[in-house]
Amino acid sequence: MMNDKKPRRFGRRKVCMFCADVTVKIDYKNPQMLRSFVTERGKMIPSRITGTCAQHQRSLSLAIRRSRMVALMPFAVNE
Amino acid sequence: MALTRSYRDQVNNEREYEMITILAPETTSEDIKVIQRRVLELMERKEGRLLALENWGRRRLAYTVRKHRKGIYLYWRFLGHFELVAEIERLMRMIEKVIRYMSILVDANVDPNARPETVTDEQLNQAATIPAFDAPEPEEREARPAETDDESGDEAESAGDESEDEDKE
Repeated sequence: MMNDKKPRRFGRRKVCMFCADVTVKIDYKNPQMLRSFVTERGKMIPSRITGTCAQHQRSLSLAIRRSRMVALMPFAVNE
Repeated sequence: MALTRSYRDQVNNEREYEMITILAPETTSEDIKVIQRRVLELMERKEGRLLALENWGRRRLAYTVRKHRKGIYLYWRFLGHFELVAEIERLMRMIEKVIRYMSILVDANVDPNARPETVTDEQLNQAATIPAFDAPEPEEREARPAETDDESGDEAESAGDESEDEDKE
């Protein structure tokens, strides 16, 4: 009976990058670091994909929005 | 102007702010010095203190700001109260060379003695000189695909090289 169910999760559970390494600071002045959390089009990647925890995703999204304000990161990439 | 300060502020403590201003790419060192002088004047009048001032050089903007593709970034960090921030932002709106500014509260309730840093004249001068650092020129970017087209024989290699170059940027 149990075997009929589709396996829900496979592989390793994703760990929040910022919880795993405390030395990495979320900073809007560092667009290189933030770039790995947006798509090629410049849209933020949801935490369910990156595995970022809620607290860090919140500060991350704030940092990305600030970074966009001062033209360090794009709002949208149209190509 | 009446000093209505927030009751959340502890007595004798100040707020730490940072501000990024983007100047038009044609701004000269003299222009930057004028801006510095006017901001410092304001800080003196509003009892603030400049902690750091950095020039990040002429950079490519992620998108065009007031029809500029590049801009000179200035990074300020200072202690003060919100009237000072309001005054500085007002000043930035008046200066035509400033194409974008953003001020951010780093920390409320900072003991001024815990931030002993001050900005020396030398640092001010350094911030006024525009570093020769230039983000990759658009011409270079256009030239690259043409090169790889010539070497269409070993496609796999040239593609690998190209992606590496992009990572560096």
